[in-house]
Amino acid sequence: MDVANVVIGFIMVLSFFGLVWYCIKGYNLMVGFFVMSVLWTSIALIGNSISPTSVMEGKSVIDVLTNVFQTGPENYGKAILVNIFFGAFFGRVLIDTGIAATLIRKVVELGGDKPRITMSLLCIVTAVIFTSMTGIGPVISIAVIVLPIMLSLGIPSPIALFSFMGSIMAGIFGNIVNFTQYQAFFATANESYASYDYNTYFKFGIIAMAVSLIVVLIVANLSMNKKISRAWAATPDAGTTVDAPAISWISIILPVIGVVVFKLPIIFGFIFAALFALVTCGKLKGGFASVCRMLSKQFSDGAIDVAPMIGFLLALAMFNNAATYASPYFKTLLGGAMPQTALLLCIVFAVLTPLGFFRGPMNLVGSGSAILAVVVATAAWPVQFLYPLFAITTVAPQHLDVTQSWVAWGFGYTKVPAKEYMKMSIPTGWIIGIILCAIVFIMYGNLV
Amino acid sequence: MQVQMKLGDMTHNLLQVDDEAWGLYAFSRDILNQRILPERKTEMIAKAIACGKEYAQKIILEYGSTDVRMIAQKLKLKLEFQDALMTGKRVLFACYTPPDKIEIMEEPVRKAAELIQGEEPAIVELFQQAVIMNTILGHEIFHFVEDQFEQEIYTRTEKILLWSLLGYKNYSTIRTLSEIGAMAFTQELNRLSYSPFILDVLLYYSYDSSSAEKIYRDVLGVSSGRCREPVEDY
Repeated sequence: MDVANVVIGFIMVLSFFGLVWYCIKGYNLMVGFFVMSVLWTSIALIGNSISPTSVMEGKSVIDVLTNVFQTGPENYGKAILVNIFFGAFFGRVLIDTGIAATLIRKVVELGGDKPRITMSLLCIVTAVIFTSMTGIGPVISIAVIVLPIMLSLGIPSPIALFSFMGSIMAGIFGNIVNFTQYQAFFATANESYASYDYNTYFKFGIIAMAVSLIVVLIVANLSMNKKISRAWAATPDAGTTVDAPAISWISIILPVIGVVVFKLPIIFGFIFAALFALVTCGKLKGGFASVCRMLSKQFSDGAIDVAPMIGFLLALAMFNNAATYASPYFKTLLGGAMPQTALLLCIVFAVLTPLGFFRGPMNLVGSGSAILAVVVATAAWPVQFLYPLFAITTVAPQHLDVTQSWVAWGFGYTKVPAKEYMKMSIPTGWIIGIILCAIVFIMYGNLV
Repeated sequence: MQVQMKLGDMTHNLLQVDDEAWGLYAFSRDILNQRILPERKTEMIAKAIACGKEYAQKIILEYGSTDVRMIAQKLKLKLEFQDALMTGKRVLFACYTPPDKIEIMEEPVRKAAELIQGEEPAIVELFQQAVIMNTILGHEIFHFVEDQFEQEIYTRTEKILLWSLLGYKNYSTIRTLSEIGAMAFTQELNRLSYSPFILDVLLYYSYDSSSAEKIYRDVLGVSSGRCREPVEDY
């Protein structure tokens, strides 16, 4: 073992823990990941000048810098940004047409004054909505409808917040935009992984969504008192909004149906579903210029919804490429400890799922992209097996986590102390991780 | 630009609103509002008010007093005072958590009483801090009483059919009836000349005066019969 590589590996591991600490402290992630990209690229270049590594073979300093700071964000943009922008546009349409709000009101009327049943129905419809929608804007738009309903039913605010955020997390397991986002990490880590598509993932995505939702609802129900509280509260919102027509409701799942059943490209799916929603809700009226203005506004509102996320994702793309240059040093340190069988890898992922919280090392939209590079470097894992494992340790912890922008917003909105919320969110994320890792082994373990 | 109304003017107008209008205002905030026909709502409001008053009389008879604090003590209720809790635009004034916990938010009460100080003496007299506090406590005591008599009390036994499928029928209670009953209960117990629902506006005012005015206009809209909400098919 080369001493220089070991020393560099230790420095990188230390900086990695520094990043985890930085994430936990809640500092700006975009800046943090950019600084880490600079740091790891510099350390890797220094290391390569001492003891050349295979990943930098034949590359000049300019090539490395280009790969990290130019190609990384560029490739990410090509694969992701467009989908995210159109997904956000679609989300805005669902909000503006009142379709999402109508669906929520309808399920509430199905459940009535039965807090547990109505909460479950609200969680189911929220999860379905978030298989297509994404971004903090749509989350807030739905939250300001769902959370007051739950509170008015006497559901304690920590449980209302947890069950709502948990059901978004469940929906994200089936979310096509999130899939594309994470899949880009895999395509970067190993070119052969680029062919893995949403249709192949879909079966697991739906199972993961159902399992997560069930676990969230069980935890929420167990956390509730047998008898529900009664509150005297006042609100200026009378909730007399006009309902969107029933035919328009299907637009919520049209993008997913389009991709899975008709093999449509996702951007077309989003545009078609958005137009369907607008037509069926009678919003394409008032002349061409007026409709153009409305569409333009919805697109720009959607873009604003996801803008902070885009900045972070672009910095993350740099870090992701920098991590490929760091992987030889991680492999030197951790390669011997990496599991080599499907069962062991599933067990390791199940046990380490909590490390996906706080943007930790198991989280792809945290510091996990370096681990992905190491895992990919140690063995030729089939992507059908590896992707769901990382999806589990990314989606479940991340979307329940206090570092998630909309969860942080939820604390401010409901005044729920983070500690109260985390008592439910962390065990839930872990339980979901254990169950889903077992399912991955059963479904895809034979591919290894 | 619309000129913001003064609290005193709003209070004066709200004191004229009748119980049925307050009941309809309460229904307008209910998740099942659109599932109930207007005639049925009127009937339910009357019954819920009667129920609240009846149980207030029973309590007065049983404990020989209208002192809500003493009654709370005799019922072994645990009374806690908290600061304000605002979730978005929803301001919480008080909460009853079974089996025996009542939380009252002190801040909105204190702020409302301070604001009222600047109004005419007759209004100041009606809304002193202790009066508001007792009104809220009485309201929450009713929810405790409801729990004791949930098999027979009107506000818990009245139900509407939400849907039926293959012979299975899903009925639901109506949360608003509990609130209307609680208001009537505390009004009776505290011998108030006005509906305690008025506190929705008064207590809200110090947090967001324009939203409080929106509540006020909703109440007046219902009161004057201008507010006609859509009702679904049955």
